[in-house]
Amino acid sequence: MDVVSQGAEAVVFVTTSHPYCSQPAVENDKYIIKYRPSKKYRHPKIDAQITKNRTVGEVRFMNKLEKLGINSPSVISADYVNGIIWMEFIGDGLPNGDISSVKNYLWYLEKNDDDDGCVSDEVQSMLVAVGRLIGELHANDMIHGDLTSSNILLNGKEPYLIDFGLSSISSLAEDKAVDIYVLERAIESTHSVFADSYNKWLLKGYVQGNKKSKEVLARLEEVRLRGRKRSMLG
Amino acid sequence: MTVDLDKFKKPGKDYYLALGLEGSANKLGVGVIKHNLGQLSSENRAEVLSNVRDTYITPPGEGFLPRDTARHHRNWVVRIIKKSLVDAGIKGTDLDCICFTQGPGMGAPLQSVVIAARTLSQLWKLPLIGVNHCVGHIEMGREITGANNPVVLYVSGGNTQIIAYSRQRYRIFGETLDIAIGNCLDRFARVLKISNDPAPGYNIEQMAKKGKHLVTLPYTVKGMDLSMAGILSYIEVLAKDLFSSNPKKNKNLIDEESGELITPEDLCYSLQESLFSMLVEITERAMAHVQSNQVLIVGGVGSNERLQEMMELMVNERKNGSIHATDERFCIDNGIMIAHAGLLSYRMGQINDLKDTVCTQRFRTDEVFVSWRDD
Amino acid sequence: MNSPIAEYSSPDINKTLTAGDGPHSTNGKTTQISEFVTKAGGEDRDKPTEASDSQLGQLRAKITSLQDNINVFLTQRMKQVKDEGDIERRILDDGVDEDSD
Repeated sequence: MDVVSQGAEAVVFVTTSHPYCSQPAVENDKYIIKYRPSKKYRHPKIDAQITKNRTVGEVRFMNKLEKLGINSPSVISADYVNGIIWMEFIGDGLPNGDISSVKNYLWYLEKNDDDDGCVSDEVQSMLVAVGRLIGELHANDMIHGDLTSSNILLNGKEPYLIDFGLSSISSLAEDKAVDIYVLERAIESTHSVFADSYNKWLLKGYVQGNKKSKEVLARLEEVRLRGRKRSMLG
Repeated sequence: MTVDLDKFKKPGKDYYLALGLEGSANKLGVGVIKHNLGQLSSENRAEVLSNVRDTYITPPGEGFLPRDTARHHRNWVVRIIKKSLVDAGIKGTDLDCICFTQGPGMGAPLQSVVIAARTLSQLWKLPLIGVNHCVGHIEMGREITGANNPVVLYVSGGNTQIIAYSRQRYRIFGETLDIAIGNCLDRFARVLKISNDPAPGYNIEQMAKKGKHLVTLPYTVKGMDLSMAGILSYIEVLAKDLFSSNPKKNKNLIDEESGELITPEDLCYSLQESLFSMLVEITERAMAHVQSNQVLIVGGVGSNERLQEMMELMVNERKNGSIHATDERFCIDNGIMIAHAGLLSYRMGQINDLKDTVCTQRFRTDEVFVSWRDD
Repeated sequence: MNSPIAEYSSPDINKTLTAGDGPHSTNGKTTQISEFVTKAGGEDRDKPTEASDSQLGQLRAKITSLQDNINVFLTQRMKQVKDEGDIERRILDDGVDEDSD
C-alpha cells in the first residue's frame, strides 16, 4: 500500500485490494483509501467529533454526487469512527510523476512550457470544464466548501471533484458565491501569473453548468468587495 | 536571493541605520535597526539597537477608542523616540531613513504617528518609507527566526491571515471571513470583565491554563478561511447566562462527564481550544497546498504558548516540519519591525515622497511589491 | 517670538484663528482623555509633558491653545451642518476615512 498524498487532513493510500472481493474484478485494478488520522494538537473531544462528522459528511456527499452523475470517485466502503473511506481510484500521473491534480498540471506547464502553453486552448477548455462541473454541483444545491486547484483531479481530460470533508447542502446564493470566491482566491495565490485568465475561464464554464448562475454571480461581486474592504486593524 | 541590496549605499559608510515608528493600534513602538552592507544571512544579521514600546491600556471591560489611543501616541511619541535614540546610542542625524506604519490599522492613531515621522524627516532631512504593518511582522519574523520561506500565520487584534510568499508578493491563502482572532478574544474578555492589563488575551491564556472541562463550540473552517463571529456570539450568550447576577437568568451549565459546574476558566479554555484548532488546521491546509514544511507565527496572539504548542504538535507530524515563533518583543506590535522592513525597502530605492505618506486603514499584505526578494 | 496662526476658508466664510492671549499650557481643554475612560474608572496616564521655558516649549503651549480654538470653532461649524450626522464622532471613533465613504 503506497501513500499517494499526505494532505492536511488525511493520508491517501493506493491499494490493489478490495474490501469485499478477494480477487479484483478487473486485472490491475486500484483503489484509494483515505484515512483521517487523529490530530494530536486537537482536544480529543473536538478531534473525535471532527473526524466523524467529516467522514460521514464526505461519504453522504459522494453518494449523492454519484446518483446525480457528477464526476467524483464512488465510495466502496467506510468506517466512520476511525475516519476511513475506501473509494474508486481517479487520476493519472503527470510526466514528472506527480498526481494529475489541476494544481500540479498547471504548475507542470508553468515549469516546462512557455507562457503560451500555460494559456493554451487546451488549458482553457480544461478550466471551462472544471467551471461547468462546479456549476452542476451548485445547480444541485451542493457546496464543496474547500475548492482549490488541488481538489480537482484530471482523469484524462475529464475533471473530477475530490475532498468533500467541508461540504454542505445549501440553496443560498451566498454559500455558492463564497464557494467560488474561495476557489478564485486559491487560483490567485497558487497560479498568480495567469490567474485572471484562469478565473475568467472557470466562470465561463460555471455559467454553462448552472442555469441559475445570475444570482450567484451578483452575490460573488458582493463577497469580493467585502473581502477587499475588510479593514484590518492592528 | 540575488537581489543587490546596496545600490543606494552612501559612500564611505558600510552600514545603514533606520528608525521605525509603529502606532496602528494601541501600542506605540519605536526602534532602531542596523544592517551592514551585503545580503542578510546567518553571518550578517540585522542588529536591533533599540526597541521601545508603550501600550495604551483601558479599564477592565472596555475596548480602546481611537481618539484616546491617538492621544496616547501623540503625547508619548517624542519621549519614546528620545528613549529609543538614547538606547541605541545614536543621534537622529546618524540615521539613513525614517520608517512608519502606513497601514492597515486604526485611522486616528496611524495619523498621529505619521505626523511625527514627517516632522523628523524634515527636521533631519531624511527620506520617509511607508511600511505595511503585516509585511513588517513577516520580515522581522523571518530575520529573527531564520525561517527563509515559511507559511506565515499572522494572528493579532485586527488580523488573522495565512500568508505565503510567491513571486515577489506575500500572498494571502486564507483569512478570517469576519472578525480577527485577537478581536474575538478581547471581546470575550470584556464579557467576563477580564483585566486589560497587560493584555486581555494574555489574561485569557492564564485562565485557560486552569480550565478542565471542554464545552463544545461551533467549528467553522471554510477551506483555508475561517469564521469566528458565530463562535463568539455563541460563547457570549453562554457566558452571560452562566454568570448573570440576576438569579432568574442564571443558568448553571454542567459538564456531562464529571457532573461539575462549568467555570469561567473552562470557557476560556474551550474558546482557545476551538479557535486554535481551527487556526492550526488552516495552517496545515496551506502548508499542504504550497508544499512547505516551515511555519512562522507572527502577531500579538502568536505569543500564546498554547497556540505555539498546538502548532508544534501539528508540525512534528509532518515530514521535516519546523516551527518558528518570536517572543513578545517582536510578536507584539513594535517599531523595530517597521524599521527593518522599511530599511529593506530603502535599500531597494523604494521611498515615499512626502505627498505619498498618507496612511490607509485598509492596506492588504499582497499589495506590497517585495522588491528585496526574487526567489 | 511670533505666535502660530491658522487660517480657515470655506465658500461662506474666511477666518484667522490665533492662540489667544494666554496663559498657554500643553494641557489643552479639547485634548483631554474622553469621558468614556474616566467614567469607567480609568486614570489618565497619558497627559502631555509640561512646556519647557525654551522657545520650542513655548511654541508647544501656544499650539495647544491654538488647537483648542480650532477645535471649538470647527465643532461649532459642524453642529451647523445638521444633515451630516455626528461627523466628529464618526471620524474620531469609527475610524471613518476622511477621504472616502
